Amino acid sequence: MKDIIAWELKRRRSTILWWTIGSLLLTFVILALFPSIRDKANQLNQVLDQMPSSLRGLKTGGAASINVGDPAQFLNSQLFYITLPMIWIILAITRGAGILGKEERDHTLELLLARPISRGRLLLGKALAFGAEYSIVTLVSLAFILFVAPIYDIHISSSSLALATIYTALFSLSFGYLAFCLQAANTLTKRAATALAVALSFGGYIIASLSSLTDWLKTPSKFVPYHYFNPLDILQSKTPRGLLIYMAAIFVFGSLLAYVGFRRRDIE
Amino acid sequence: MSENIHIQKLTKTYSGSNTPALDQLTLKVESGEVYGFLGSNGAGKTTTIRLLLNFIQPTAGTATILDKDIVKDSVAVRRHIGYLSGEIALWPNVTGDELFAYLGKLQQKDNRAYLAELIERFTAEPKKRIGELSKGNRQKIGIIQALMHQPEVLILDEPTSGLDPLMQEVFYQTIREASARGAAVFVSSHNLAEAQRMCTRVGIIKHGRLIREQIIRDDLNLGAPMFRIVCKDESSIQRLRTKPSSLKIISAEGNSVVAQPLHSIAAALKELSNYDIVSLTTEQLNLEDEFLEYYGDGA
Repeated sequence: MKDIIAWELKRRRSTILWWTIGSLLLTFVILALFPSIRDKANQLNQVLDQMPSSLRGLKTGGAASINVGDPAQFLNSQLFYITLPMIWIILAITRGAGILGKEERDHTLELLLARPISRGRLLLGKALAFGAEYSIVTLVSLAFILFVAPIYDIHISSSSLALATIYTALFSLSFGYLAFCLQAANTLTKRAATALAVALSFGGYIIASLSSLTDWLKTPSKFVPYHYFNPLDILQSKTPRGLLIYMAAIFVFGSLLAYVGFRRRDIE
Repeated sequence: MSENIHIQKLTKTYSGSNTPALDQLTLKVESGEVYGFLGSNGAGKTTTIRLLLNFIQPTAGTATILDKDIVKDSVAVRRHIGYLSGEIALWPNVTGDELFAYLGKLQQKDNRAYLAELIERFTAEPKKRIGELSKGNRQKIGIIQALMHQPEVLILDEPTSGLDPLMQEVFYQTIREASARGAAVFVSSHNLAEAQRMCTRVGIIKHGRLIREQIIRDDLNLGAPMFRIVCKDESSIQRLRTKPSSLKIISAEGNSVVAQPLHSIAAALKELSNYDIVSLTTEQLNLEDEFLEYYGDGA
C-alpha cells in the first residue's frame, strides 16, 4: 500500500508543487487585499449593495447583504465560498477521475494488476495516494492561511480559520472522490464521471447561490451539495450538520460503490 | 511434466455482443513448454491472455495456473506470473530503474542479480526516463519487468515487437533458459517464423475457437529431423503407432505418420527396416502453410 502511495507522490511531485504554488498565490493575493478593502469598506459595501441581487448572491452564497470590512465576511465571500473551492475542486476532479481512469486508458493499470495485489488493495492504495496528494496542497495552504492572515489584520481564531479551510478542502475533495468512485466502479467513463462531478459542483454552486432570489430554485437547491456549504457559519464556530451528512454520504456510499464495482469488473 | 496452465471451456462474451470473443477454449501448457498462440487480429488471443491475468471475467469455463483458479485465487496466481502486454504501456516520466524497483516491491520477489543480468544482456538503458527511449528500448524494459522475478509462468503478448534481430535472438535465448528452468511460456504472436523458431507447440485460434494444435518440436530432440513415413498396409502403421522404440510419433493420418527420431537417425532407420515402407521423406514443418490452411480462404 505504502509503495503505491510513495510511487504516486514521487511521480506527481512537480505537479503537486505547481498546484500548491498556485493555491498559495491565489490565497496570498486575496489575504493581502484585506487591509485596502477594509479601509474602503463603506464604499465597497455600497457598490455591492447596488449590484443586482443575483450577482451579489454568487459572491456571498445567497446572503442579502455583506460587510466586506468584517474579516469573517470578507474571507467567506472572497476566499472560502468560491476561490479556494474553485481551484481545489478542479484539482480534486482532475486527479479523482485520472488516478485510475487515466491509468486504465493508458493501460499502465495492467502493470499493477499483473502483480500479486488484490483489486481492493489497489483501489485503497490509489484512493490514499489521491488523498495524500490532495492533502499536501490543502494542508500547506492551511498553514499558509494561519500564518499570513494575522499579518494582514485578519483576526479570526486559528481554530475557526483551520476548520473553515479543512471543511472547504473536504467539501472540494468530495467532488473529486465522487469522480474517482464512479470511474472505479465503471458506472461512468472518465469523461462522464468528470462531467457529472463538474455539473454537481459548479452547477450546484450557481443553483445554491441564486436560490434565495428565485422561488423555483429553492426546492432543487436542497439537492445540490453547495446548498449545505456555508463557510461563514464555520468561521462563526457553527457546526455545519448538513455539510457533514452530505460528505459522510459521499465518502461512505462512494467507497462502497467503488469497492463492489472495481473488484469484479472488466478492465478495459 | 506438470500442467502449469490448464484452460477448460473458457468462454468470454463481452457485454453488448452476441458473439463470444472466446468460445470454449480448452488447452494445456506444461512445465517447460513454450506454447505459441497464433491467430489473426480479433481472433481471441488477447482476450485469452486478459482472462488468464484476471483483467476480465470469464462468461463460462475455468482455468487454473499452477493448480490455482485464475478468478478465485488470482492474487496467488499472479505471484508466479510474468506478463508483457501487446502494446507495452509504461509511465513515461520515470526511469527503468525506478520502474523495476517499484514493480519488484509489488511482486514481493526481488532478484537483483538476475535483474542486473537481464539489463546487461538486453543492453537496456535503465537510467533514462522511459519517455525518452525508442520503441525498441521501451520494449526491452517491458520484457525485463516480465522476466525479472523468474516466474514459473510467462504470459507474453507479441513480445518481440520493436526489437532488432540481435535482440530478438537474445530474447529467444532467454526464453529457452526460462523453459529449461521449468517455466511454462504462453506467447501470442503474429510472427509465424518466430513462433516456429521459439515454440515447442502452437495453437491456432480463429473466431475465438482453437482450431488446430501442432507440435513444432519436442524438447528431447531439439533440431532433430522429422520423417513422413508411408507404409504399405494398415497393420504396419498400427505397429508403428503403438510400438515405436526409437521414434516419437508426431501425427498420424491414414497410412502415413510423421515421426521424429528419439535418439539417433541410424537407430530409427534400423527400426524402420522392419516395416513394409512405401516411402520415407524428410518433413519440414512449415507453420506458414499450416496457418494459411486455416486463414488463407479469407474467412
